[in-house]
Amino acid sequence: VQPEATLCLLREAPPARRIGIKGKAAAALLESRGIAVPDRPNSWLPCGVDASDDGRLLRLGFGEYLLECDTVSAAPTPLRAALGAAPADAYLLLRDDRSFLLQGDAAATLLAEVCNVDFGALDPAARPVVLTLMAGVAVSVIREAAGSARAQSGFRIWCDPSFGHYLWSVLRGVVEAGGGSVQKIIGEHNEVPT
Amino acid sequence: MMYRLAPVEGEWLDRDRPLDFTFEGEALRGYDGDTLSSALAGAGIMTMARSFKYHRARGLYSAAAHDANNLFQSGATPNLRGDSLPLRAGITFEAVNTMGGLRRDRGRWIERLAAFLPVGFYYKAAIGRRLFPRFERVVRRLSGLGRVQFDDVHVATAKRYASCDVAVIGSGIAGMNAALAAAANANVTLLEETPRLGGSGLWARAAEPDRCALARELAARVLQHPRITVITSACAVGYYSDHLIAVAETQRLTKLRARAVVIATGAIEQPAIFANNDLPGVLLASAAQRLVYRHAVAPGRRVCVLAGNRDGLEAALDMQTLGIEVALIIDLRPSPADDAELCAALRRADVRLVRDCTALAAVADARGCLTAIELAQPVGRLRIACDALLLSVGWMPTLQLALQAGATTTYDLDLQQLVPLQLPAGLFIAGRANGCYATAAKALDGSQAGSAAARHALRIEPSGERLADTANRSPGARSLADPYLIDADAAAPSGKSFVDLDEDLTANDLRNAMQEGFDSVELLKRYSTVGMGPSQGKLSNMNAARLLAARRDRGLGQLGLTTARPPYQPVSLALLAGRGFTPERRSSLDTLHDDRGAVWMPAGNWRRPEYYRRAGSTRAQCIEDEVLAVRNGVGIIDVGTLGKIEVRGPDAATLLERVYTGRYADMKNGSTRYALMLDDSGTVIDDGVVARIGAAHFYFTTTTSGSATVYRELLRQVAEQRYDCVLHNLTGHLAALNVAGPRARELLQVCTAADLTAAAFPYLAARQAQVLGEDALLLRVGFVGELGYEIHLPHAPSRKLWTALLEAGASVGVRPFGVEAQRILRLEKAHLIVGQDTDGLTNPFEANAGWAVRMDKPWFTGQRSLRILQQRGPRQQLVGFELATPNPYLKECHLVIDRDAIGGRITSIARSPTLQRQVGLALVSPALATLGSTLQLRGDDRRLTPATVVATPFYDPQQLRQRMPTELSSAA
Repeated sequence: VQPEATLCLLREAPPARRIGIKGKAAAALLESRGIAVPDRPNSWLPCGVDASDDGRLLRLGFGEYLLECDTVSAAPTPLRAALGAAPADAYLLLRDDRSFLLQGDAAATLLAEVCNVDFGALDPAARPVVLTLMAGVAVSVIREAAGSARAQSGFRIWCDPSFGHYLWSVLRGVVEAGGGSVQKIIGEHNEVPT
Repeated sequence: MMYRLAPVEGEWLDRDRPLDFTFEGEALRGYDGDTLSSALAGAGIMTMARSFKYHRARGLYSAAAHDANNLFQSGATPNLRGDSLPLRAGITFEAVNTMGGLRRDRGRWIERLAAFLPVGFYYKAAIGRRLFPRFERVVRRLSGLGRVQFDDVHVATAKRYASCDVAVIGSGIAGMNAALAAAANANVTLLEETPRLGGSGLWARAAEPDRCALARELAARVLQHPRITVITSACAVGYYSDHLIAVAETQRLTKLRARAVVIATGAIEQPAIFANNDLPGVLLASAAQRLVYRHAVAPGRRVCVLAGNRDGLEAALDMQTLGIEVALIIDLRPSPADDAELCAALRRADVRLVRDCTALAAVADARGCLTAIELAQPVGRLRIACDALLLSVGWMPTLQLALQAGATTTYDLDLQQLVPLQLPAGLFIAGRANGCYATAAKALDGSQAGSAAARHALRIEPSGERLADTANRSPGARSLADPYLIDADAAAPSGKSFVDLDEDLTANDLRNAMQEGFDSVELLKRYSTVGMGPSQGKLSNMNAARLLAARRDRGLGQLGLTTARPPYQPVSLALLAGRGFTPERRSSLDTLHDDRGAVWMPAGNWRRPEYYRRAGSTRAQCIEDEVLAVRNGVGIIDVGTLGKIEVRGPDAATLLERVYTGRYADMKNGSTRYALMLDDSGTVIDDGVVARIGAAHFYFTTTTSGSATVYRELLRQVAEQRYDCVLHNLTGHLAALNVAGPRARELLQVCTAADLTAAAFPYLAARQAQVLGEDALLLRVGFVGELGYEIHLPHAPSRKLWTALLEAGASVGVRPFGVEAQRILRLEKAHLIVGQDTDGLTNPFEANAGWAVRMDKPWFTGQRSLRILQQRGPRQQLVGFELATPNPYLKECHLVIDRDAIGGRITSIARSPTLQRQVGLALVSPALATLGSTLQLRGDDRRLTPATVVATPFYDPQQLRQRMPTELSSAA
């Protein structure tokens, strides 16, 4: 009666351009660059700074955002440059998070082994951002549905980079024990041991 | 003797899949669908275990893991519960707690010493006695159950979280009706301890065949229902706040969060107390019913039934229907009112029944198994030959989980059992656990509870704390618990009458405990250990309470209950441990440290290099070499673990002024300043360095272990004070290296075009510069007491920089140094480590950090307390000391002894390679803090070693080394 574990793919998200924006004028800055801003905290919207971008803007608080654009061209525009000079009350912040993508029918079931949030109940259409603890580590999680040609359905998980190795090990153990497979893509400085 | 029956309709066995197994060296055969216990019983094994204390022969008793008789060891796995563990092919197992095997157990002689092992034996004979240590070793060797093998392979079992609207615990008729009713609107999770749904409906059949059909029909509906998730072989073992239920499954532990819960866990049949009531062959009637209908195993060839209620008669009819000879039904009741039809059915089957009769003793054969029972009738004694005695004298509702949830109970005189009284919000109890015994009543009770639970879960009709529903209870209609305490000790003094089979406690033991004054349920439990065995009193608490009630001439409802605590059933430690979730942080340079031979140590939740191993050098030599490299040349250390926080906005300086003791509003751009953080009581809780990057932009460091706490506190302050600034925790996002030593500038200059001269970059300055072409922040600080630069930069360039510095510095002997060397270097300078050189009461004046406190500021956290503390004077004082004669046994936290009293403690101690002597810091009472006074330090060797209080810093007291020569000359 219990759900069977099916194939899951766990890997680091492709090297991404990622930046944090904080401050009272953060939303105005983003909107001035043509980026739609989620209307409520703890939600997200797909976006990009280039026409070819496949990215996402997470609203983490009243005046706090995480902008991430997947690398799709050989010379992607650095986000800091793309956003230009920040006005007063908007601050561009370094975000070097580790990020993982967990895919497959059993993804929510496997996440239940490391987190008490019922990810299976998340409504992808509502685009919630879940800020919670996963295996003891603070993470941000979204459920991304397959939308555009490049977007991959699954759960995107961000954590502090210093916890990256630990969380990777935990998730890998859970996925492999559940019969899933593990694929990793190591970025320039993404230290993920075998 | 037990034996396997011909196939029984609805049995759980797959007769096409026989399974071979080995028990106590004997090759046996069972079937797929057997438990370990039923397989043994089916193979004719009567004696399956030895008891805990007296090593008496024990057999199958409840067939539901409600007793601890059937615990087995298989390989390295101890205490397998035979009643519930499925048989698997090839398994080899044996009884626990034997000396030389089950049959030839040498521990049997212990029973002969029973007269010398009275209740409370440990208290009376052991505590405080001189020979206790020797005695304890003997007792520990003799007692215990399974053998733990510490070198066994660790198996990481899974834990998982789950959630639902309504959790239903128990899948009997009440539970399944509750699930179906709740599932009309809500998502339901149904938990069942056994592999199949149905509960007692599947094994109490003959008297009411429709009940079994109903159970099967309900099970089919439940399994097909899209809103019901069924988890079988899953025992709810703990109930925690907000309806969090711990569920022990075969290979994992589930933490199930529900909005509402229905407990439909039925009732546990209770044993009778009479002489030798523990013999193999004596078992609960419900156990016999489980055996015959689930596993097609007859409890014996000629059985007797001791009945205190209608259920006993039903069990007899079940046995007779399956062709098992029922020699006699011994009915304790003088004249039951509602059993006429059942009695007629038994008469038609030629089953003999005697009334108003009591069992006196069970009689054992040469193997120690039941061969006859002796009865007391109004007309005299009677001896009946039988090889199985089925006990059905009463029930105890399974309310342990409800009690853990906060429910209260009362004793119902009609039902002669405990029933729920007051229930917390969101908890519902149905079925026999709620005192409903008739099938229709159970079904109705379950449906009503399920519907109410769904309404509560979905907030349609949320209920608060309330009284339990009593409408469906059926006093007098069915299985009453027997109100008589069957206790024939006096009439048959030759045998032991056991109350607690787990702990080998007899009725006489409990009487003696009461006689000694332990005559409340809690005291009786603690003194006698009744109910403290693996089955946690499921079969003993009620009878112990009845004995107590009889002695005190009180009703059971007046005695109260012992506290019900998780787990309800034994849980393996492997399940509890699960996967280890111990977050560990690693710096961006982690793998590069490995390349250099790092020996790791934990620092907060980081792993950091303690030192770097070198071929042919000991740990001490490696650390000493690292220290000397910094003092005489140059060294680099990864300080990326420091807390790194950025604050931006108009109120940034105001925030720092509030949370730190120093002044920051007057800092010039490009400068740094020491920062000390206190809590409201004035205790030092963290420190670091603040750098001013711009007018409204500061960057500061915290201790390695304090970054998260400090960040949270600052966020709180920003929110509370409505400051116009934003905080960003860069701790994990930025790397940091410290290049330190007389040749630090020379080395760093290789990697940057920035002007590092003293004029351009003086001591305590901060500069933004390009290092290896990447943006970096440079701080000129001197924690280790030498010329030094902290370089803060992103992860990717940090790895390049580390490698480049080591390569470029090879010619001048650069060495990476670890945490141990850093600790010694800073100790030579007497630089404080918060949390090591301070404790939970140390204020800055006591830690010699008063210079960092600006009491003339309008306000900072802890200021008011400091004013009071200043007036009171120091409670302790941090002092430096040195030893004329080194003592390697002295370590941090060892005591300072002052005239036979504790005068303080060592906070830091090390041999200084630079000074060639042992130095340290200690928090001591003010009377001992005078320069030149002698401290008596007591180390691991227990002797007192004198040390002299000296001025600090020990090294470079003029503070010349952090500065460059040009800075010194200009200062002069």
